[in-house]
Amino acid sequence: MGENIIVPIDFTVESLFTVKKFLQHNPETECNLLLVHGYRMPLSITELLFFSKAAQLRKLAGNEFEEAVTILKNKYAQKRVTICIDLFLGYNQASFQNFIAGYTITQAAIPKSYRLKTAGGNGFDIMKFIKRSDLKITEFDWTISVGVPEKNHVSELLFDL
Amino acid sequence: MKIQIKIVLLLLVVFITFTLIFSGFIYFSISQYSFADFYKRLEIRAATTAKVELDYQKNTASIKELKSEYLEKLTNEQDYIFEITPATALEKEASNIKVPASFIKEIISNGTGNYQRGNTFFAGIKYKSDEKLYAVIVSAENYYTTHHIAYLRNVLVTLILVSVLFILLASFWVSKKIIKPIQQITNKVKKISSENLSLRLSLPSQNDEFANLARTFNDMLDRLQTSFETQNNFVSNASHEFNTPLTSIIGQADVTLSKSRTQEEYVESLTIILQEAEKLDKKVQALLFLAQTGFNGKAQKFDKVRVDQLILDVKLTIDKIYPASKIHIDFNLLPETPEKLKVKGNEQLLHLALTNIVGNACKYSRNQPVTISLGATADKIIVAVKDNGIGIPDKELQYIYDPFFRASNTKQFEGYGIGLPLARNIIKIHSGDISIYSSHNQGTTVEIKLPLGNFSV
Repeated sequence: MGENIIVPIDFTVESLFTVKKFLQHNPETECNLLLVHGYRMPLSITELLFFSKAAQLRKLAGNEFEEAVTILKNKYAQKRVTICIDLFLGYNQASFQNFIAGYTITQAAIPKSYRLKTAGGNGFDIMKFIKRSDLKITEFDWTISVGVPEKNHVSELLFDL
Repeated sequence: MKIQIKIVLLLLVVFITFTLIFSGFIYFSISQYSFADFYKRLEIRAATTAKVELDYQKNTASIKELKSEYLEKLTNEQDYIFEITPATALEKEASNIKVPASFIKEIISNGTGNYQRGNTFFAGIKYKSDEKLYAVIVSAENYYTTHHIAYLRNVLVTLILVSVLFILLASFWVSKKIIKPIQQITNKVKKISSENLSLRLSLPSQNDEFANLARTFNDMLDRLQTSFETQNNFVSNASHEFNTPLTSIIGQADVTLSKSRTQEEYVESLTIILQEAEKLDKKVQALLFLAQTGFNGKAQKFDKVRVDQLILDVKLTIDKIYPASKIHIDFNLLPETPEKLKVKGNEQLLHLALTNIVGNACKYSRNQPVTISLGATADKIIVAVKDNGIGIPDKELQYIYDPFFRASNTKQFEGYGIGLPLARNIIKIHSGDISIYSSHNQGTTVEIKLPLGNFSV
């Protein structure tokens, strides 16, 4: 078992660059990467009744995103790196502290210049919670791709600009 | 048989079967019930009669009065009483009343018994009076039940007839309603011919099966239209492509033959002719290959191919063809396990396809750096080739797989427009996918997905 590391994502292929960069910078690490996006629970009682995190994750993570994640998993298949995706369903810093305590997360890898988008109607960026927490934060930077033809396709992950 | 009539018949059969079962059940259960009820009444009468005739012979008048006052007379009601002794000749008694002996025996053994002869019903009981056994039998015609049953039967038959008529009308209406959209589609499709392939069916407002059918038709028409246009383009492009070198060969030969030339001039013109003929040959070869790799059902010999090795080989080949090219191979995301790198395929064909794609990338980016990268998902290998070349105009992106099609911004580059369709055919043979993302003047990314071969190490 390695360390548990939280990585904020927005279900675009580009946001996975944080993971790619992290693993390139720490090639010998053993770690569990938890890719997290914020999600506001619906307010209506019927939607809450039928709310399922797994279904919501399936909806948010498109085909291309999932393929890109498996590429990363295959790349580090023998290095004891596990990658999981989860939604943070809380509202405030306290619930975020609970969230990271529950997962026993000690580190965070975040993008430096890339601005995370909000996925779906109820998504939100969890960067502010990460920055306010007492996690050990490492920032990773890459050239932000603007108007590259392969935007939002798997191949986007394959190239470093 | 028309489907409309089929629907009508089907509905009719189903409904009539149901109605028949339903009314048959009602008819039989009601008649059974009324028979049982009538036998009960007869038995009560038999008991009364026995009491009157055998027990209270002294004051029969009052009971008879009571009976005539409160019990209505049944049609043809008749009472029979005889004593049962071992000596009684049952057959004789039975023939007196005109009932079978078995009926009398039933009364003696069971205490009660029922018998029906035509419309006349018999009910008998065994009665004990003054230490003697008697058989008391009452018979009557079942006027009420027969009439009620007959009435019920008439009502049911009339109702069945009426409902058949009604069902007939209803099923005609239903079938017409079902068939109507099909007829609309048929009429619309009839209007579409090869001259007006751009016509499309209007989609119904509801999203039902017919909307689906119309959509499928529209999709098919889309494909038909594209392939028609491709065919037309192909013929015009192909004749143009073949015509150009032929024209220059003929023109060169014509000019050379117009007067006598020096030795050098002949050599020069023959060299030009040879060059043009070689170009023509190349085009014919490429076309032949394209036809061969197209789906013609011929089995290709497939073997284990390592994609990373393939990419390295392709780089060597391209270095020979375009010595000025700068190819950068990015194996950053190369999967760690080798079985994720093997596909089932024909190495020569895959090599050809990839060489064409990488060659295009080098050619149309004027030898700017081209990156080839590789990654493996759970069941696919993804090879991506990225260049920063001239790109493909958005509007022309849909035609790039047409043989001989060349984008409008490729005029100053040499080429025949066969490489990409050829590559796509090869990828298709390997059950793979090829996607091209491009933005004009920024560059193009070709993404090839090949299914993993499932070879263990």
